[in-house]
Amino acid sequence: MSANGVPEVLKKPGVTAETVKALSAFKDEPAWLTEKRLEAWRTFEKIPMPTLRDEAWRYTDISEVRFEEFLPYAPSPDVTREGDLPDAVQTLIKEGEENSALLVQHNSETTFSRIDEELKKKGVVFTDLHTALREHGEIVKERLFGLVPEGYDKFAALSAAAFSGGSFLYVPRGVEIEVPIQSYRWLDVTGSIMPRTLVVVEEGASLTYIDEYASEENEEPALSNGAVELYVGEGANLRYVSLQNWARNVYHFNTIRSSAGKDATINSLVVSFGAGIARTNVEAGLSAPGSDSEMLGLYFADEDQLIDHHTLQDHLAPNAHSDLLYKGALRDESLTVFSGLIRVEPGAQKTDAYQTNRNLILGTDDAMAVSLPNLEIMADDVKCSHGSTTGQVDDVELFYLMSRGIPRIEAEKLVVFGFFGEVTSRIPLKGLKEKLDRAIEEKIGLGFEERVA
Amino acid sequence: MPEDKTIKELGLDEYKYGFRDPEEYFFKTPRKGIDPEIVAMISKHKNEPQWMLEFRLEALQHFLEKPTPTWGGDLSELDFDDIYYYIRPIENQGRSWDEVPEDIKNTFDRLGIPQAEREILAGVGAQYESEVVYHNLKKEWEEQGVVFLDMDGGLREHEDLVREYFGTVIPPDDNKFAALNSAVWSGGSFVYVPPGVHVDIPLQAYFRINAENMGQFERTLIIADEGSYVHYIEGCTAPTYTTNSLHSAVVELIAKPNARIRYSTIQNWSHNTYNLVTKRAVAYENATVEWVDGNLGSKLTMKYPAVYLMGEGARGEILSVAYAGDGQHQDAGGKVVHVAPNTSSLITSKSISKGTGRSSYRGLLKVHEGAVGSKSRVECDALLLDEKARTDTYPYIEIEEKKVNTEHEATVSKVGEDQLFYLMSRGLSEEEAMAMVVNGFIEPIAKELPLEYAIELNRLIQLEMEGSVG
Repeated sequence: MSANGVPEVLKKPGVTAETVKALSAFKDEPAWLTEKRLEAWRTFEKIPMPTLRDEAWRYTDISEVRFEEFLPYAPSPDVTREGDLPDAVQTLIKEGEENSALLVQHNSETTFSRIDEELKKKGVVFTDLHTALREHGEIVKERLFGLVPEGYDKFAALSAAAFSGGSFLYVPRGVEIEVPIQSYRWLDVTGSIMPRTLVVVEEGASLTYIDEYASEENEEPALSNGAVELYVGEGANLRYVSLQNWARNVYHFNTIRSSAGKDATINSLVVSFGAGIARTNVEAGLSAPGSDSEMLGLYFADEDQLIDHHTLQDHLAPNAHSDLLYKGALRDESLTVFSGLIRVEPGAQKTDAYQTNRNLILGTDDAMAVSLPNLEIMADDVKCSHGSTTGQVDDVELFYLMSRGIPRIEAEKLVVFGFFGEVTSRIPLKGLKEKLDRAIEEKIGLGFEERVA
Repeated sequence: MPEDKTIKELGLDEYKYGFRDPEEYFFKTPRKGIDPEIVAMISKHKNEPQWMLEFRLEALQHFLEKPTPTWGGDLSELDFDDIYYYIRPIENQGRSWDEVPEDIKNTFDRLGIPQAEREILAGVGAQYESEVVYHNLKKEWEEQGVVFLDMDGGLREHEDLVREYFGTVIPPDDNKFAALNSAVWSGGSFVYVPPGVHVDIPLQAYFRINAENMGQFERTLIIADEGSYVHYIEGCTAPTYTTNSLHSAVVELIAKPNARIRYSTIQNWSHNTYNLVTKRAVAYENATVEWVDGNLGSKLTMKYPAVYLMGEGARGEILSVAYAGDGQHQDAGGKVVHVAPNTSSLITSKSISKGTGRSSYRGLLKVHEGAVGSKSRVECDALLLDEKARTDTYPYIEIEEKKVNTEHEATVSKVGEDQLFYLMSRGLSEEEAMAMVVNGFIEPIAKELPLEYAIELNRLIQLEMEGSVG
């Protein structure tokens, strides 16, 4: 959709009731959604901006983020074929995983989407949220905001009030998709982008879905405020990857929440490399007996980046299993926050839950790693444990490599790769792994020689 | 799992130290609640120097300004206006048990204090309500220059030392409860150990609240001069009333270079006591501070003994064991702050939750930039004995220095059926088997206590455990 026809109020910074109404009218939305958006906007107005005094934000200073400064909506040029997409996006696609369906959100609009004929025939739906609202209104109405409701926090309220673009993926019962499905969010203006992902995987289906975020370098600040809702039915299997590599001018806020049916399996991987401030909440709802969630995280902060992950392993049902491993490296003046909670609700007996966070501090001593591995256990027949370590590159490992004739700098890189290898080796996606390796190399890259002791 | 009825029938979940004496006092504040007038009254009654009165009044302002914490335990039923802040039971402190009034002496007899003093202690202080009623240090330690007085005595006899160190480790504005204590403190111990002196048998203070709606605010300051050693033990109990009591102590420890302080607590307040205590130590070059902290009693305990490692090579160790039975919440843990290079710390926490009990580990591990070569390890184990029991772990780990090695681990489990089955196949009853598993679980803590106290700890836990298997 071009800039033509965009209501004037969306060209003014800040989100007001007028903005929300205009956006909903512009998208020709059903009345229930307009109402929902307005209700969410009121919630957004009511919730104060989080400060360091709030427990969930005590290390994450977002006082410089001012919603009233961002354009609520950023238009994007029309595209009819993949070749018309911005070169940078085409490169991302080329360097990414092979895909069976593809969707590109450029700024606030979905500009391109494609799905293999074979999947279409099986009833798989992959489209932007506005189209989904028109064509699959019932499913969307039933599920949208179900896992990340507007009351979750201020950012979720804003997302519900002002989302645009977004993606909707529906996989019918028993459909097994081998090749990953991929969506890209590309930002080349300085406004805000509010993507939402809604995935519904029916009983016994299986697939891999990748959300990737990238943007053009820019001096002016931009805002990405997202919400991801993943519904996985009985015995189904979803691998979900979130790869965040925004330029440094972007503030990234995202909440990812999944709900697993009986004997369902969800494997998530959340990668955070980019953005100036990145706050991601990752919640796995183990909502039915026998459900299983593997949660992997990988982050690398440099310069003055602030990368914050809040995770929740929410054991609501008995006999469920969850296993979390988040590993991060940091250098320069960066700050990383890992706050993880295993919560076992009363009655969730025979829970098996594990949580591990490891941090590697590189270079100067100005970086700071915060680790908060929490447990709240309200059932007695459980096995739960967590672990957290923080340290530097291991001298013994370095010495070993150097004794084999590897120069120090190379040896250090190898150790860092080895550190992340524990996570990357658990992802069966070759293209993605290569992409991660390149990104890690880039992060280690320039100036690493001086900085790593 | 047991039927509640069974436990009640057996009468085993009763608090053993719940007996009370009649309330007869030498002096009591004329009303409940706290304001500058009450604070000034306490200070005047104690005949304190002007600077202490000013210290108290300033602290009161901090107390009134600070909000009641909303994290940790539930403090919504704690009413600061419904508490007597100062009660002086008798006019003068005794130097021998014979000088202590009969009923108070009987209380401590029933708690086994005079006997312990004869057998295993270097000195004893016994506090009843707001004042220390008995205090004695064996001659050989007095001759070596060791000072062991109640805090008020310390202020009178060693004003310079007290003025230099009092409130330096825990300033009055540190938190709401430290502020409250700073405003109305009374009693507690003042200990000074001269350079090189090793007090090789423990000093003990015993704290007893007897009156209803009573707040006890003892204040302890221990200074271990260079190369010295001291082990200080505190125990606490109170009668069971239908209304709540408040115990809010401040304990400051200063370990000079090469000194070592070990501070052990067996907290067994009655189950209607709020126990909100601030304990903090500073350790200088190559000094060691060890907190051994056992929390069995109280309605709610919020207590996180801390060690600030200020000098190179300093070491901090915190051993915490918590037992939360029906209706109890033990919010305990420890804090270690590494400021100097090559410092090391170890926090070990063991908790047991039974019935509707809730035990939480809350801890901080902070490594400042420049604390190169520091090592820290935190280990938390939680044991759940009932379906309704709850356990939480809230560790805060903040690392600003890369040349460090920090580890945190926590596990939660229930008593394994295979463990029980094995023991029972060896002829133990289920109850005995359970008690054995629990004793094994707290063994790392118990072995750090002097034998008599370890036995007491085991016995207390066994007592709480009895009838818990049905």
